[in-house]
This record gives sequence, C-alpha cells and structure tokens, in this order.
Amino acid sequence: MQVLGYRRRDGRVGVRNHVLVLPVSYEVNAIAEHITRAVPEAVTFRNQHGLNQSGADLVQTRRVYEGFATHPNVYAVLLLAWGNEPHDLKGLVEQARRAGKQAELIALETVGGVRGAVREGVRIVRRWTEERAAVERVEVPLSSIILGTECGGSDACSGISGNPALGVVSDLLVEQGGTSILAETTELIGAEHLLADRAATPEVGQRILHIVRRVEENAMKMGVDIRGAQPSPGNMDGGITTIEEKSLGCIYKGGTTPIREVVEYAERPTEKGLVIMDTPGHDIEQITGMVAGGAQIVIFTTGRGTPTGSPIAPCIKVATNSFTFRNMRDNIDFNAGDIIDGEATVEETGRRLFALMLDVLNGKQTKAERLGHREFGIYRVGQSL
Amino acid sequence: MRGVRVMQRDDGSIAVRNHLFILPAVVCANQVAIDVARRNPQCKYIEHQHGCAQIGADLVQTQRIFSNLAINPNVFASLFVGLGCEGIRTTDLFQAAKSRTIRPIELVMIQGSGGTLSAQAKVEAWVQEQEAAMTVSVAAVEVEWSQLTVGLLYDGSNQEPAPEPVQLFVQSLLGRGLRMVVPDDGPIAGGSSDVFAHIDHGELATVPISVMKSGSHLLETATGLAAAGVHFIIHFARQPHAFGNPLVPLIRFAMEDVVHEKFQDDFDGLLGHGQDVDRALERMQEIVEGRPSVAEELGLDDFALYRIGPTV
Repeated sequence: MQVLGYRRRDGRVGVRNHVLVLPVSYEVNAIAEHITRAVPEAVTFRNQHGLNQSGADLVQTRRVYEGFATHPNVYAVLLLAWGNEPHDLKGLVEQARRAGKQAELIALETVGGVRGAVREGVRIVRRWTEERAAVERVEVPLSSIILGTECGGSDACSGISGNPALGVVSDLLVEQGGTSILAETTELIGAEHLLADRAATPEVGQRILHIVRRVEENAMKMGVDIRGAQPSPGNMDGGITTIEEKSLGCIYKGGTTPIREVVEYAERPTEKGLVIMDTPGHDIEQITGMVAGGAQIVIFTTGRGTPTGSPIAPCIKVATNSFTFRNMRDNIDFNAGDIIDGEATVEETGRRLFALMLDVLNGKQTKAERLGHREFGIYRVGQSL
Repeated sequence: MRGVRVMQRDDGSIAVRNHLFILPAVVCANQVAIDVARRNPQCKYIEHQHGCAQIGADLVQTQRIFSNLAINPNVFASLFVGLGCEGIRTTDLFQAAKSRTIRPIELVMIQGSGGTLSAQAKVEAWVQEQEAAMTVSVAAVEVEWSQLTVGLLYDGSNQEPAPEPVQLFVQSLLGRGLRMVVPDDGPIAGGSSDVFAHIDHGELATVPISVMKSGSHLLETATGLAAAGVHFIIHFARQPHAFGNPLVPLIRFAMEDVVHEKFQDDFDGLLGHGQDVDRALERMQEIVEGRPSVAEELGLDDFALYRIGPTV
C-alpha cells in the first residue's frame, strides 16, 4: 500500500514539510518565539532544558535534538543556541544536512545580541518557507511509516474501545511492513508478563521486564508510591481503579503482533513491526520521545479528552466514548465510542481509524494541527546539576 | 534619600507592575494561555511541560511554585487553566491560592468547558472583566524602599567573589533597606548583622534577607525568585542572555566592559567600575518606577520549573 509523502535524501519518508526553529536551550526560547511570530508558517516549541545537564541525561537530551533536527517531517531546521550549551551544535547541523535538510545555526553570542538573532532568523526562515514548496509529495510505501501510539486521560472505556481500535490500526500497519511504537512504561506495569510472552526473542522479553522494573525502582527512590500519580485522579474519576487495570487496557494499542525490539527513549527503532519504547506515562514527554525516534504520525486515544499535539508530527485524537467526543469537539478527530454504544465492532472502528490515518498521512490536517498545538518536553533521567 | 514611586492596591499591597496572569496548571492547558495572550498582549502567561505524572516532593514543590506565582505582588488577578484529569488537581490549586489573597483568582477547566476554544472564550471574557477593574484598584504612591523585595541572579559560581562594583551595588540596596532574596548558589549576601533565613525553592520570603535554594539553571532560579514574592530581579551577568520573567521586571547589568560594549542592546547597564554604581542605581529606580527593562522591551518573558523528581 502507498501513501503520498516527502522522500528525503537519506531515504526516510516525511508526511509533513515543516520549517523548524529548534531552540537548543531555554536561553533562546524568546528568540524562537519572535521568529515564528514573524513567520507563522514555521514551527517551534518552548524548551526548558539544554544547560547544566550531564551523563546519560545529557546524552538523552542530545538524542531528542538529533531526532527532531533530522526528522523526515522536517524540511529545514534552524538551530538556535546561546553559545555555551554543552552540545556539538556544528555536528548537529552537519547531521541535519546529511539527512538532506537545509540547516543553519545561529548563536546569540556570535550574532551580536537578541535583535540581530531575530533579524537573521526571520530572514533565513522566511526564505525556507518559500523554498519548501518546490518539494512535492510522491508515492511512498506504507512500510516507511512509524506510528506512535499513545493513550492519555484514560477512562474505563479506553481499554474496551479506543485502545483495541488503535490495536487494529497497529496490526494493519505491521501487516504492510510498517512500524508501530507502544510506549509509556509506567502503564505497562502489571501487564509486562503478557508482553514478554509476545517478545520475538527471549532477549527482547528480558528487556521488557527490565524497563518495567527500572521505572518502578526509580519511583521508589522518591520515597513514594507510584500509585500517587498512576492512575491519575482523572483516570479514577473516569472509572479506572488500579494501575494494573490501566495497563491491561493500555497494551491493546500495540495490537497482537510479536514485539520485535525494545528501544530507549527517543531512539530510532532498527526493526519493523511492533516496537516498545521506554518512556514515562506523561503524554508530552512520551510523544516527544516517539517523534524523536522517528514516528511521523501519532494516534492518541483519550477518555477524558486531551487537546495536545506535537510541533512536527500530526496527532490524531480518538475519543474512547461518545460523550467526550461531543464534549471536546474542538479537539477530537475520531469517535471510538461507537463501540461502547454498540453501533460498531472494534474491527470496523479500527479499520475506519486506519483510513483516517491514511488521509492524515496524505496531508489532511488534524484538529491539534489546526489549533497550533506544539507541546514539547524531554524526559529527564538525571537530576539537573 | 528619596523613596520610590510604586503602586498600592486596594488591599494595601505594593506592586511595581500590574499584570493579568494566565497560568496553565498542566501542559495540556498551554495552548489556551498562548492563544489568549497572543490576542490580548497585555496578558502575562507561562508555557511549560509539567502538572501531570509528578509524585512526592517534586509535585509538592510544583504546587507551591504555581500557587505562589499566582499571588506575586505584581499580579492584579490570576486565572488557572486546567484540563480536568491532571495529576496536579488544578481545582485544589485554585482553592488554595484563592484562600491566600483577596485579589481576584479564577479557574477555567478545559474538559468542563467543552474543549480548547470554549475554554479560550471563557478566559477572554475574564480578561475583559478584569481589565476594567485593574486600573481603578491601584493608586500611585511613594514608599520607602524597604517595602520592596528584590531577587538577585548571578552568572558564575559561588566560589568566586562578586566583583567590587557588584558588591557596592548590593550594599547600596541593603543600605536602602530593600528586602532581598538571594539564591544559595550565588556569592552575594549581606553583612553579619543582617537577619537571614534559609527558604526552600520558590517559598515565600518573609524576612529582610532570604537565602533561597536555587534551581538547576538561571531561568529556574528566576522562576523561584518570582514565586518567593520578589517585585523585581537584578541579574549580574557575564554573558548576554535572552530571558526575562513574565511577572517581575528583570534588570540585567553586565559585569564586564567588553561584554557590555558588544551586546549593549541586551543590557540595562554596566557594573564594570566603581563609578558605574550610581548610574546603575538610577536606572534600577527608573525601571522599578515603570520604565520597561530591556528584557520587558524585547519581550523575553520565559519560564522554567525546577524539577526534583522523575516524571512517571
């Protein structure tokens, strides 16, 4: 099966053609904001990280930057820096260029101040937003697509309607040779044994058990029970009683195929098929990680109704019940509540969602895109120093 | 020595700015704040990635900071925007803040409003309502400097002593009786006779000199200072920077001539030599009395939150 996408020089396939302004530390957020206000066709996000980080935490943050700067949905990237960030930014520009992108670096300290940085940024970004029209969509195989799956603001319906329907989408995509990412390790707690049984190799099974144990241990270091945050108060209001119950509903998103690989946060899968990424349950840090890992599209099921998206990847919102679909009409693209209402089967609803995914891959805008959602957050694995 | 011209509110509190503040309590509510503030540029707001999947002391600290920001003295009225299912429980946060001030505090929940656009309409109606009220509720007054609290930020480590002009400047602030919040990673402090207290990050300052637990970087520390209740921040800088704070004017002085010369547009002044001190004090007074600081003029409002635990 084919869709229409952008074929990049490194062979990867994009479904959007964004001009991204990427602030590599909080020091330059305001500059990114000014540039994208002057050129609203470009996208950016607010970054609260990038300085005083070290070790594995620094490496992980750098991996996110790399994932965004070389992402196939990005046509061109302007890296904005303060000048004292602990990253090889010239190397990052080179990586983006090798991936076939227009890429430039502006550092506050070398460009002579805020006004100069904004002026220079606007000039570059404006040119790119004009030039990008020259790149056209071409037929690309569905096997080049990586889908990020997500559930947020879950309710008692999530594990019955939205997540199983998304599981059907995962299975259909995997059947076409594509990749589906199941993430949010916190919400695998209590279901890890079921997933480990589905691992393609014993090593993958061990990795699944390992990442679940790790997240539990990290929470214990805070001296409190993880159950203070999972299930969240909103999940409980929505009828979820325990983290295990939430997890058993959560894992439906991945469908029924074998688990081929377990990757770290923001790491690119090397296998096709169903892949697990180790992310927190936090919606935004999870989406950021999956997109940095190469997901060109995200499908996000929600029981309570959450509005968030990503600056560079379309995010399809799926309501798990008809009330939320009607109530959050501004934000929700698709109603899986038909399953609860007894009007459609999981299989039928899943196939309809798959068809919507194809439309969005081909260019149809999601509600989160239309509203300009651009949430961003990096999962931190170390205390800042 | 003359006092300082500031604003006094109906409740007797003193302010150097008069802001409407839209505070998303969770990342999912950012877009409501961003869009309303773009259409109503007089509104202040923050954008962040927090408010859900936090636990323990980390959650408690976040609640403290949000709650204290909402009642910063420069804020006339605050509006919390929540989603409805977030871990931070925005309704509780709103109730807690409301019980601590008689200034207007409001709450809009996105799920309860039926989506982003409906929530935005509610927030905009609130903005219009408050705008009418906010100008009549303040009076221009001249007060002693001791009525004001300043927060200090410093480039560099506490291993090195502050340059002499900076020390002179700080002594002069203390001499005027200004209350002070000093991050614990900075070198600047008062004399042995001053009353000190150590406070947690973003905890309200109540004594003349408070030493606050700093954040992991300058922007987080600036957030902590605003939450501690300072009226303005002085940043002694070795490098150019592009951040400010939405609620309190950030006044940035260069500590080195060459940096100041190269990035003049980005600084409010220079503290390179002893003779710069009086000029810097004068500029500080102008800004406190209403002249926009460079960070305000350049629109450098920004926010980062000091996290002390992992996201789950």
